Amino acid sequence: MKIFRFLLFAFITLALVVLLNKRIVIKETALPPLGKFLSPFTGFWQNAEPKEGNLHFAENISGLQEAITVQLDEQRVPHIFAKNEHDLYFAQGYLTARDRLWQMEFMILGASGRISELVGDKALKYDRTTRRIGLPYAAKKAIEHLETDTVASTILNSYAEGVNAYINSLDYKDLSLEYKLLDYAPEEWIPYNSALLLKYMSNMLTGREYDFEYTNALKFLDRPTFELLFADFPKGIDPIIPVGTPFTKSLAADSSSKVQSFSTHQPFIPSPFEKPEANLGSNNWAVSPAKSATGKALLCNDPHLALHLPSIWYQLQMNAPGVNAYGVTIPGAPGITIGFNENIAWGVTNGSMDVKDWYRIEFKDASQNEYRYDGKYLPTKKIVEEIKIRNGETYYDTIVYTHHGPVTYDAQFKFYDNPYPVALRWTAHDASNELKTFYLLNRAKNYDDYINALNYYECPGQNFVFASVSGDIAIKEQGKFILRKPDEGKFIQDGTTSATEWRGFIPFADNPQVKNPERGFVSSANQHPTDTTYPYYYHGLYEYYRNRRINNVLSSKEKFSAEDLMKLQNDNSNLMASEVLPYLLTKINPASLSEIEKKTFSDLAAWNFYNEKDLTAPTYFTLWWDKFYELLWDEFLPEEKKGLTAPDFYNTVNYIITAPDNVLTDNQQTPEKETLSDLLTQSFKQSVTYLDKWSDSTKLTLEWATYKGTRLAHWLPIEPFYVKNLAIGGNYHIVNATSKTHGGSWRMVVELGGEAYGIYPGGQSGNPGSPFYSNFTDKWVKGEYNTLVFLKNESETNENILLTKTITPAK
Amino acid sequence: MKFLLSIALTAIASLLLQIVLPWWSLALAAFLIGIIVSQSLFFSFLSGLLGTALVWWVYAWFIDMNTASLLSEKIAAMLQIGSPTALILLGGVLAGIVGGFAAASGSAFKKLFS
Repeated sequence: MKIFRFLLFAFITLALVVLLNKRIVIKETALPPLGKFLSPFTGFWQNAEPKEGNLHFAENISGLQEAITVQLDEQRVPHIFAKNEHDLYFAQGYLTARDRLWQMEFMILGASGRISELVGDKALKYDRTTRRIGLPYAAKKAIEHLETDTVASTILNSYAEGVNAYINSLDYKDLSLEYKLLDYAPEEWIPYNSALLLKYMSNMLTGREYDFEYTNALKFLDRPTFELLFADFPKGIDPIIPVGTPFTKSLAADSSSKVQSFSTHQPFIPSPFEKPEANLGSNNWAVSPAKSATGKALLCNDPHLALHLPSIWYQLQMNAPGVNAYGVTIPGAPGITIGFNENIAWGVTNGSMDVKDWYRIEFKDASQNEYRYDGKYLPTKKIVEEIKIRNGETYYDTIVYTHHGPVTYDAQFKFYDNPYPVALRWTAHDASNELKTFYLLNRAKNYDDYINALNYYECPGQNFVFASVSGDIAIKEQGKFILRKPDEGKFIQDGTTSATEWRGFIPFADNPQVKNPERGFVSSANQHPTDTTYPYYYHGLYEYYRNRRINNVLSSKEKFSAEDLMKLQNDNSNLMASEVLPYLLTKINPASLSEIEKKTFSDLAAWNFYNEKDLTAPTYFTLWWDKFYELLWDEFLPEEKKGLTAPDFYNTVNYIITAPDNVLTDNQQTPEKETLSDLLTQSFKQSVTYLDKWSDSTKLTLEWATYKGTRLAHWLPIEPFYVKNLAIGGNYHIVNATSKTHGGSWRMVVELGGEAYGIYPGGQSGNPGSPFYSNFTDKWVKGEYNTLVFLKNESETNENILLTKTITPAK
Repeated sequence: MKFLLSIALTAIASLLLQIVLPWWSLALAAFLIGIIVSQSLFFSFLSGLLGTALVWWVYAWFIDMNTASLLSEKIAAMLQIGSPTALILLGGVLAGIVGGFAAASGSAFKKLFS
């Protein structure tokens, strides 16, 4: 009896310990291991930081070659002073990991298709897609290439050593909160990870194209209508390179014939692959000394990415013999990506030329061992991908490779019910050395250094803006761009013949560029790089509004100060609304409106076309436009997946103004024949009703910021870690491109040889338990900036430096 | 008196062990004190519970004060248990239940030989 009693109690104790030490999944909700997690000794409590944040630094670190000094400023930006390059990148790796380790590793898991390891089979589709578009394949090719370059190899390995030195210093209690929540531990950091990160960015920035959708569109649109809706160069564009700038052409581009209309007789593809987010974008510009109020050149950049916490950017200063640069990086990438040094400043926006093509493959038989090419059969190569799944059986996915690239879709990939296999050819798959570009830009002294640095840069294509203390400004769209025939790469291509292959690339010297243009400024906002006088054919997905607004403002005055340019980065002028809304309003008969509709109508009629946070007109306009767009393009946006894409807003505006009577206007879902005016009236009434209901059910008002509900989302869908309902204006296609989920992820204004200013939504710390997790957010929302602390050297004293720490090599 | 002593000893032993060992070492501490201090099973259970829970309550409360509830508010919201205070209480109760059963096991173990 007594022994039974003892065993019972002992069993209960052990069972409780085991249970509380385990992550438990109840239906869809996962609970962290509660004992471990709630322990004040080791659990989440150890991640809670006091109001000064984490000021602890190691006295010595094993792996450093010489002593380094780290100065931490009030904003928790580290300023690294190293005596050699190894220690510089080692320290960057170490300090970035100290603030952002979980995020770095999570992005790598995402880039390599390993999310199922963390969350189970609900991520399997994502992981298979990531591997099937070849991101890990591309990163492997890249790292082999990078290891052959002394510079790239040194910085990658030093950086990795630094990250690992930090990881090795951690006990369970020191792990980032997210590791404890999901109950796993960091792995060793390898240089390959940085290559993966770059491929992840390449996918984010060049992964979006509409080859499948355009191929499908040709099944029911005639060619003139297709050209009208999806024009390569619509009327009224305002390109990056000022019209009239001469271009060079050192190669003969073959424009003899249009690509064969292969696409028109292809079977319809019901489910194209998921693509990275639309509406990513960025702005940058530089103003010449002559146009600057202080006579010093000015440079600005604000990349618009998904608004996340921890923030996508991390600020730091890096100083060693031969380099003193300040700016931001994406955690995991060595060097400074956007920033400045004593002599120059640089920034980037996405260049949207299409560099991703799909080829239809004909396998000889179901074994997929051979495919037809130029009348012969070539052997395929197969790679088996092992996808580990949390609480599940490992999934093995065989990916077939042709000389084009991976066969992303084939009969084994059941998520996409497509009629034939397609292989992917993409510049992101090619080995290149973008790291060296940033290495050289960090050290550049003048225009020639900048151009030389860009010569190593291939993918994702970017518009590099430049300004120097000596007074030069420039912009160049740099990347490896395909030498194309007209229309090439817009549709799925025939993969059985060499006739459709890429024949080469535009020489870097011929890439669109301009130095010190007469108008006194350079700018880009993801628009066309050139007008039609550019001697090479290209196409892409472009912006039409932000760019024109920026150029209008920059042309509107003689002189600009840094404050003027900060105002421009936060500019809420809705150019699209100003161009289309007056026309839309003329199509509505006010007599047919109810009281509440009349009120909305007059609100819109009185609007100044600014998407300010406290106005209701932007809400009414946005909703009306969205509803109208759905009704107008019902052919493209039906309930059932049809594998089509609707024209973008700019081409839609062109369409309704120039061809409103086209058959596409009619709503095919109804027996009546609708005119443009019918659709506008219908959608107007729908939007008013919708907003009225929305307001009733949410108990919220219709001010723009309230309706938009901009938020910074944690990378994991854990809402208490979000910062929500930010009182900020703007939207897509507005210079302040802040939508609900995206926006200016790093706003930077540099006066060359003067002060520099910057801000990003979030904070330096990646820890939701730190006061520095989202402390920049209020200022960012208000359009305010931090004055950046740029130290000339280690001994310069600055009142904003909080602490100075010398860290020596551990014996 | 013995009861209070047992609570105090459990608290001290579990505190010291948890500084160097994982959280479940609190069960070891409670088990040992359950053996050392002779009490009825019920009082062993109760002193094990209170001794281990107290340490978690006080330490978590101390951290919460120092960090102005910045993180505990988020975790409480995530676990949908209302407030940092509820979160502190919950942690201590879980630790206490483990500590209580461990102490009762210790007490039962000792009684095998009496």
